Amino acid sequence: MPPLVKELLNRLSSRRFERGALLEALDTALGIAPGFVHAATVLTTPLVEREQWRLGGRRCRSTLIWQTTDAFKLEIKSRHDPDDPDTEQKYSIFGIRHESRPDVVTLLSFADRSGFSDGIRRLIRFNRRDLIVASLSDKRFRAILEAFPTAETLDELLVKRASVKLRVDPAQGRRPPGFSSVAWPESTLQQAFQWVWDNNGWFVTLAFTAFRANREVGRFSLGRRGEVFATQRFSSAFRSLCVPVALTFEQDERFFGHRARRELEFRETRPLVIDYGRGVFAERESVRQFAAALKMFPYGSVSVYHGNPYLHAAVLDQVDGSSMEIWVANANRVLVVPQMRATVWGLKRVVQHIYDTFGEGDLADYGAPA
Amino acid sequence: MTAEGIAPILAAIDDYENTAFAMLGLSNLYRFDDQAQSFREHVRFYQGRRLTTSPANRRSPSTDVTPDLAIVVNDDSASVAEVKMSLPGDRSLWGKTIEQLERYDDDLLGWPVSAGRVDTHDVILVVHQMRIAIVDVIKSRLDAGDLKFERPFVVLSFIRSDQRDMFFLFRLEFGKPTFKPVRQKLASPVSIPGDVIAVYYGRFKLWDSRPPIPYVMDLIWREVVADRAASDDRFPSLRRNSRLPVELSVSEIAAYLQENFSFDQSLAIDASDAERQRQPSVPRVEWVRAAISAFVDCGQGRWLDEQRARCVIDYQKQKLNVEEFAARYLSTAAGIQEYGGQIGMFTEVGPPPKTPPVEAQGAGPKDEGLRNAK
Repeated sequence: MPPLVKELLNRLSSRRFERGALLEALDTALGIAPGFVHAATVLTTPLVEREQWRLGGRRCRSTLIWQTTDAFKLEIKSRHDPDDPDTEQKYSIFGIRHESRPDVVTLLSFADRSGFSDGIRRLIRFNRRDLIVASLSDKRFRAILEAFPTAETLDELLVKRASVKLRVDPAQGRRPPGFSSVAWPESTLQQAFQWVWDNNGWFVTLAFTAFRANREVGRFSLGRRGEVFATQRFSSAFRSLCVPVALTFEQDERFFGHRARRELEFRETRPLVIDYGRGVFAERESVRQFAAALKMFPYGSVSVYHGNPYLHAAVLDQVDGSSMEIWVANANRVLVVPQMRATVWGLKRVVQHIYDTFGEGDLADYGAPA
Repeated sequence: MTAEGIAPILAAIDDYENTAFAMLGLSNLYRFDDQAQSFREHVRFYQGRRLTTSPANRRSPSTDVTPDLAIVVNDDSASVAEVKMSLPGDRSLWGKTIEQLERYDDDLLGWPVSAGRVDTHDVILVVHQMRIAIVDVIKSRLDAGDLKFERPFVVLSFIRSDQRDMFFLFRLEFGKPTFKPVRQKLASPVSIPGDVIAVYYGRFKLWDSRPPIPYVMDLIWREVVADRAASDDRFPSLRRNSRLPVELSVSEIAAYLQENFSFDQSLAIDASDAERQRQPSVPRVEWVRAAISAFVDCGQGRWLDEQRARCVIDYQKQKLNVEEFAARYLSTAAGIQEYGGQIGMFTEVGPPPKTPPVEAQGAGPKDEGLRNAK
């Protein structure tokens, strides 16, 4: 290992950094030797700060090593057999608080694939209620990527690897209701998005190479859950990928917030609609297909009271106990009627599941309250 | 349990919902002002309200009656309605329904107005369009003179239409409603979009007829047990095969469901005692007790006292839904008795294996009532 890199790694493991200094150190490290940063941006509930990041149980737990005003370091201990200490792995993870809101944090691992997949991802999975990951719609995903070259004064992004999920009829028994594939298309962003649209799919991750003045400046990727990867200039990826991902939390809170009946003065309903606008449910077959997709909601249970020709179902989200009713009584739209407990993220999980398995529409408020 | 096995329960749930839809549709007909595109705040509706007949009632003098819907337009004008989604195949039995309507043709006491009486009211029968033959029976009896209504008598038919968009269609089959906007509206069939009913139904689910028990189980599971369990610190880390005990009382469940899922919500928050006192208790405590008993019988909970007033339901993060509750109910003695032994004989599921609760205590703060649970 070159002495410079060694010294830098020592600094990363021993020093306390503020956000700016940490981003700078990561950029320097990536600049002098091959490496990568893998990051996930999460919204944390108040419990996380209250517990000082002491999260998880015997399978995966985190401990706060140090923290400054806007950055911190965690140790994640991950065990695949909770009864066998020999299966335990330890990972050093950095956290960067976002300037716009400190409860949004980008957790990152440096040059350590396992630190991300076995550390960060696992910690998030075991604390799904309190470490909330982003869920990007196609529109947001595309908007973030299309803004990236302009924000970072790049000339071109060339898609190098695309992990894709194609929606298929879940009633045909395929689990999960999608067909996964990976491609190495060497295409532009526009071509890639056109292809995925034509094939009724969505990108799980999209990896691309960025060019400026015909010179490669680095390889990056963005995932539908807001995961970011960078081989160079992580500060750019943080600024133009992680920060926009973080902003989606606020957008979701604005739209999905204050819909629980319990929060409303007369315990009335504040429904929302997913508008497809093209008579997508005019055929009864589509309602059946939608019901089959809904029933595969991975985070809870679904009661279908009436399945065809109209749909009336009730969904219980088991991550935080949110409850809502789902109706298809109109050829163009799905109606979501939140019940007594309906959190932003419970509603979002169900809507995102509908997006992932059936199709994306335009979210809007349903007009008349009852 | 096969899909055929639980089909009668799902059909009964469908009927129960459809009756609620008809009541909500009729209420909407009176409440929604098409011109102003807003609700008429002065129009109020009451489901299952107890009204008292006069001593002169020709069918049941000085008796309490509970029409499906009582609609008050103002002190002078009101309506009582009976909703019939189904009628016996034998037409000779339709007389009971007609007698029920005759009981409502009276100076009823107990209206939620200052004097407890209204000047007059319409008597409305809402029937599913498939049962429209009852109109001919009524007409012939009126023509023959052996049936007479002193108050305006109206028959509306109701059907769910599943065209491109689902909607509910109301058609005037007999008589003229007194309330002019409704009379004008019903000059031609009135359609109410399914979305409108769906939004109403988000609040008004339980009415004064016993719902199928698996439906009550499903509602209690989602809206009471899961809601209470989710307030527990152990909830996020609960694994699929673990159980989180939730301690509840039958009366608090009934009160919570009444407050948040029954037609009682049509009453204003500041409704007077007089307005409230003739409203039915929905759901009835015995329906809730039957649902809890089914949870107990299928191994999902236990009673804490001999009076069967307090219980523990074990919450689990499993795919429990209305179909599963229907199957489990059919494996209990009560389910077999209600839906017939033959269904029970072919039941393939038994009570799920018992796994120990994660802890012996109830979930959530014990002094926190359901109303304020968050």
